[in-house]
Amino acid sequence: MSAINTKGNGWLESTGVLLRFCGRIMGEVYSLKVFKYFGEALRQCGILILSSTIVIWSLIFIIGLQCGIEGAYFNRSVGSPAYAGVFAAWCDLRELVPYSFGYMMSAKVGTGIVAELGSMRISDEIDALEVMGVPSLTFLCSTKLLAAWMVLPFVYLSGVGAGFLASYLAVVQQIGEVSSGGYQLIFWMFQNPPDLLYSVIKGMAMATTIVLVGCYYGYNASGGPVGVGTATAKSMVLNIVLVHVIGMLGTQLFWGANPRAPIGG
Amino acid sequence: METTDDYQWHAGRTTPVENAAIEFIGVKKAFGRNQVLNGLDMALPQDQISMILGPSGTGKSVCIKHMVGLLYPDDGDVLIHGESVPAMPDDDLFEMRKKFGVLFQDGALFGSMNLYDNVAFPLRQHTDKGEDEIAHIVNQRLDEVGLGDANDKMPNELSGGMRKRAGFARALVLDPDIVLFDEPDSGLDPVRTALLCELIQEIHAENGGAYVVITHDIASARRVAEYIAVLWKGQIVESGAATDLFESSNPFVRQFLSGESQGPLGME
Amino acid sequence: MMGRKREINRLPTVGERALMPAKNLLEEAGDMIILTGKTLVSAVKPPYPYGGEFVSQFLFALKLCWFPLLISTVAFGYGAPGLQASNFLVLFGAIDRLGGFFVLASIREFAPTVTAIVLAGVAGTAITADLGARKIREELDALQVLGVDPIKNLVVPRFLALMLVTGLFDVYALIFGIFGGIIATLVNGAPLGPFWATFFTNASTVDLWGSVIKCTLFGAIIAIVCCYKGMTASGGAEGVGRAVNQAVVIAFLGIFAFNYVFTQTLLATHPEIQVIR
Repeated sequence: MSAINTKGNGWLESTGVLLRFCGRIMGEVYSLKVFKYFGEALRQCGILILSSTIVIWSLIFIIGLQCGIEGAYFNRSVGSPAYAGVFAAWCDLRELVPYSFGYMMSAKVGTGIVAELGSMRISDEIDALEVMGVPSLTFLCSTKLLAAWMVLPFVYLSGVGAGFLASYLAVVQQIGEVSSGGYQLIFWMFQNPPDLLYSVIKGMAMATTIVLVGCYYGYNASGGPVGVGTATAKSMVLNIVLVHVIGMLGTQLFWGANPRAPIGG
Repeated sequence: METTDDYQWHAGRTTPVENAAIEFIGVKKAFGRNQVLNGLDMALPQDQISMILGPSGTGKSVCIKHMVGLLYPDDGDVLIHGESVPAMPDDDLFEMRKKFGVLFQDGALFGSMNLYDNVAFPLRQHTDKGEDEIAHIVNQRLDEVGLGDANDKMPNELSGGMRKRAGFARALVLDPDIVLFDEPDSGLDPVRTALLCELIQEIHAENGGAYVVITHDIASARRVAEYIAVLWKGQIVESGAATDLFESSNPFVRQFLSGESQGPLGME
Repeated sequence: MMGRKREINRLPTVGERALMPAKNLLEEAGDMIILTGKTLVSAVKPPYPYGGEFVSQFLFALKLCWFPLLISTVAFGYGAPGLQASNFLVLFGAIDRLGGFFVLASIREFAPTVTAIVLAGVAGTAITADLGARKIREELDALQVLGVDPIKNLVVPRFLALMLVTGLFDVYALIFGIFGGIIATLVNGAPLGPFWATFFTNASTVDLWGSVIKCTLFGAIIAIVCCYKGMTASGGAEGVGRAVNQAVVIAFLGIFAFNYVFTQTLLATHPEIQVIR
């Protein structure tokens, strides 16, 4: 059932245990059992919005600024300063917004889930739920996943907006080699709705992974407050690696063979 | 690891219990190489306050987790009102657990909710009662445990004793047939412990049902126990009516119940 | 459910909620700066009892980080600057410039930031968890009672070790980041010769030193934030976990904010270094 001892011997076994755990959480969402606890899912949505959106946006904003400056200087060096928009558009939308979203998600939300669930585990709150006849996995983990799916696409989209704004500010207002109109023309020419969709898919894949990994480490924490701390640290390691791997696979899948640019071949 | 010597005091003298609420039949449970329960046979009676006594680390809390199906035995069977817990499918298990109220060591109150919501939680999950009715029940239970005017406090604002009493109120709120207490005296001073014991007795007298208390505190055992099972190294040393046990001639039981340093139980 | 019709406690207003983190953050930033000062002073002032701890922390971070960093840098180098930039350069018929771009992207930006992210996420969290555990087991109090200064004996070695490790890992990250770029070039069917040619015309030891120094400073930020959060972890079941959670968030924000300021300053003072030759 629940508190099964999940210490695997090899990493292969641990991976198996982790995947089975994630499968169970997702199963509860897909089989709609989670909607029995829709109120709790809504509460999780609220927590997510209030506590995490601002930090996520600010990180994306800083990185958007960075993208803008680098883009402006780089395009000057290849002799096409007017095309700074291309660099910014691709850098923001395709790579750095997903990455910074993933970084902040794993830092803020992922470890937050581990800390919360871990402390519930060690103070017997999860057992208390089970004893009161509430399936704790559904109530605690699946509701968090559902909340993430309901809220995060919007957080992500507005994050993309924050990144775009930052790049615009950096290229047009700060460096000032391109006119606002010229920047906008190129910037919007070099992206289209499918690009945005792919970017969202990338971000959501990261978010789903992060929430599941966080639930796994938190739900199976043991060893007192110290154990919760260790579990939190470990979840971060796995999340960082997975964010990078998902980022790369996404790029390869969506843009690897086809640059999706309106000019050239 | 184990020698025959380990079990020389286990007289196995048990008073037979008729229509037991909880039965353990040859239960074995190991964590890694650590054999916690080693063929435990135990029966706890209906409508009495039973106590499982034993030195630290003899698997008392593991017993509780077996009763509510949070852990499954490696071997043997656990029966609640004659039904086997390990054999139950998940849905029945959740249904069966509604018979139980459990008071965890530190109360296990949900840190994200205030006291009132904590106590109301099982009602909101499992009954169709309206908020008025819920408020009535919750306030009544909170009054019973003496927390009537603290219902909007958060768990981390409460003292250890208050958290336990709140956990008790939450455990009682569905009128359970069986109430389990995991070390109700841990972390409390003697006076608070005595008051909590009194509360347990009072509420048992009012509601009936099988109460099972796990402890290593002899003072509370003398105060509330009607039936006692002494557990050591994963088996019952002796069990029976409290009055019999306190008169026992078994050296281990005598040492443990009088809390002396001389006797079969050493530091290890 | 939990939230349904609950008696509402007085919640802080939206404005309070928005400002509270900012206020706390400022206070904590002040405390961290004080800790930095104390650390620097006690690192320099004799005696120097932290040698052994320094070595063990150094090896600890090394052992913990090398593998996550390897995967992260190859993945990042292949995906972001590799595939996307070569797509961009192919448009202009200038795929040979990818090498030059890698000097700009990888040495100056991505290698240090990815290294910092991975070290904050892996070594930084481990440090917070470790110090937080000692805090709540009252080991830190015990040390002080025994007349041992926790800053000198615990923070200083971690601070120095993390700076050194992050600086060294920057080079490591560079190598594997460029490896990712090589894969991207090969995937595009371009020869490697021009890649190396533009790479070496652009790369200079100044770039390398700049990158390493920046990364070392990232290491200092991570060490201070994570030590501070660990040493101020509160008790209770959630204490250490929350400390790790906050440490990594603050470290990330700190790294990127610092990186932005650093890049801005560098570009404003040395605009010529961003030109691909």
